[in-house]
Amino acid sequence: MEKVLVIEDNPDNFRLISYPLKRAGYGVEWAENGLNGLKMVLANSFHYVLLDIGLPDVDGLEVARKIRDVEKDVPIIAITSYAMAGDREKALAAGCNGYIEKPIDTESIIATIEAILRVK
Amino acid sequence: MKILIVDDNAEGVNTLVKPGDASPNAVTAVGPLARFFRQWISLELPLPLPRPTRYMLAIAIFGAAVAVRFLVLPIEAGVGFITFYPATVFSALLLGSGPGMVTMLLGSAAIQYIFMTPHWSLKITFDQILMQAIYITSGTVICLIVEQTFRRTMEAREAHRDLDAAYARLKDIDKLKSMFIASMSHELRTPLNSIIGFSKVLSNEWAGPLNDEQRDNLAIISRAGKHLLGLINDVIDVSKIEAGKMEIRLEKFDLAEVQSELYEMMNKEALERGLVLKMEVPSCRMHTDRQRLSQCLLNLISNGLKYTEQGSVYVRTLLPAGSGNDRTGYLLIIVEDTGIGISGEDAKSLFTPFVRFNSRLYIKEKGTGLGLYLTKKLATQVLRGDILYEPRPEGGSKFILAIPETIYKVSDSPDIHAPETTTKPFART
Repeated sequence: MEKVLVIEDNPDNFRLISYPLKRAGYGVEWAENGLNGLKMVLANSFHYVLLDIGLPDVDGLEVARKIRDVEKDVPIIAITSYAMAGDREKALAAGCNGYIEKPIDTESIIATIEAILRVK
Repeated sequence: MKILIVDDNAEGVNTLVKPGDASPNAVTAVGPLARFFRQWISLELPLPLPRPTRYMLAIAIFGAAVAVRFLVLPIEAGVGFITFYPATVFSALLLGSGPGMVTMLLGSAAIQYIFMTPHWSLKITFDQILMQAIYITSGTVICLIVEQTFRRTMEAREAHRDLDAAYARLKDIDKLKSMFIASMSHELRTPLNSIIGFSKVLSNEWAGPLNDEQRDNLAIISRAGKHLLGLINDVIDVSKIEAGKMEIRLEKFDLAEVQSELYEMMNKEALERGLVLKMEVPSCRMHTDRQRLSQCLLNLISNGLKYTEQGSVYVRTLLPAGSGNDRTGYLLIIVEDTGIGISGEDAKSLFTPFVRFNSRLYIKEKGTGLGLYLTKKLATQVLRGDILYEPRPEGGSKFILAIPETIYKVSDSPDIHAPETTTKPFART
């Protein structure tokens, strides 16, 4: 089973994201802030990381850069907000492989993620 | 200075009035004579000078006038009106506030008298008294006139400054409003996304099977959530445009791609409503904001579908005049429907926010009230074009979206997106 780490401060959002992921057969783990997320990436090997850009403690972009410093290969998919226009470009520049936009569409999220992973 | 604030909202007024300004000036009726005396007592040039400076300036001017008067006595013999008199009036006004001024005028009259009586004598003629009386009276009148004129000028200038400040403050408040709405709407969206997302989780039966009633109720939650989300998104866009924060992302793309995407998206809805969506899609390279163009068209098409009970929605594109790739002017995208249309009176307020039309279908199909307003704003301010409405003579509405911008390359054979077995509801013209 492929393991996914979701770094997302909002528990409701995490729960929502985890539904389609679990149904698609992924093992889902949760980090509720950037620091824990980093620790978990370092301690475990995940197949990919879903990373909320708007984290309260460490900026999501910073988390992405830090992950890239140590874990060169793990695909990172940013979760960006529709309203923040510049976030997508910044996320890609920080080393993310792709992005999904909030509001999260539970029906198409798997297809989007798999498309990003295929490109990688 | 008084400003009349016309506002049905008391809060709005309070934000405009500084705490110190709150008590309005009492207007009291005074008789003309009483007013004259009050003015006389309070006469003073409204110069922004501290009191000591005023006094010193008054004395200096007066002293200089006395000296000049003494020096030019032979020329000005008998009449002090050329140098001494204006200087006296001016310094009297500088001293101001009644007593000081009266003293100054009387004093100058006395000096005048001394100068004009070279050989000191106790004999005061009637002529001399009359002359000094004229001197003081006319001095008073001139003081009044000068002071009033000066005061008016200063007040007008101050009023102007206050108005400028009030205007700047209003603009700030308006900007604040737009920023507040934008961030507020953003905060609203987060919980709303949970409502919509989890409705979907439940209705997909990912959390267990549902019975029919539960499914129906869930559909209502989901629909209401999506309606609210649409409203919030529109509000965000409108407030962004109004705050001047809407970014325009120019892209080069083919209009046919955008229209095909829209067709895919909207045809499903048309079928659900038992309507026909027909789209003529010419290939045409454009350079404008793709996302916003798509949004404008989406709004127009979904309005067409919403307010049409039977028949069709027909989208066609008129390329700018010219042939091949050499074309200039506006590209027109025309969205027509066979729906209820909008009557002449209503059509005037079509692009006004939150205007509701009193027709059954308009009441049934709740829109956000911002759709056309936003579309117009996008068309004019982002796409730099315009949007027009025309009623169709045979019933239904016709919206024309006109877009300037660069058009690169036009292919001659348009695709037509339409279900294959349909009668043509529109006669081609």
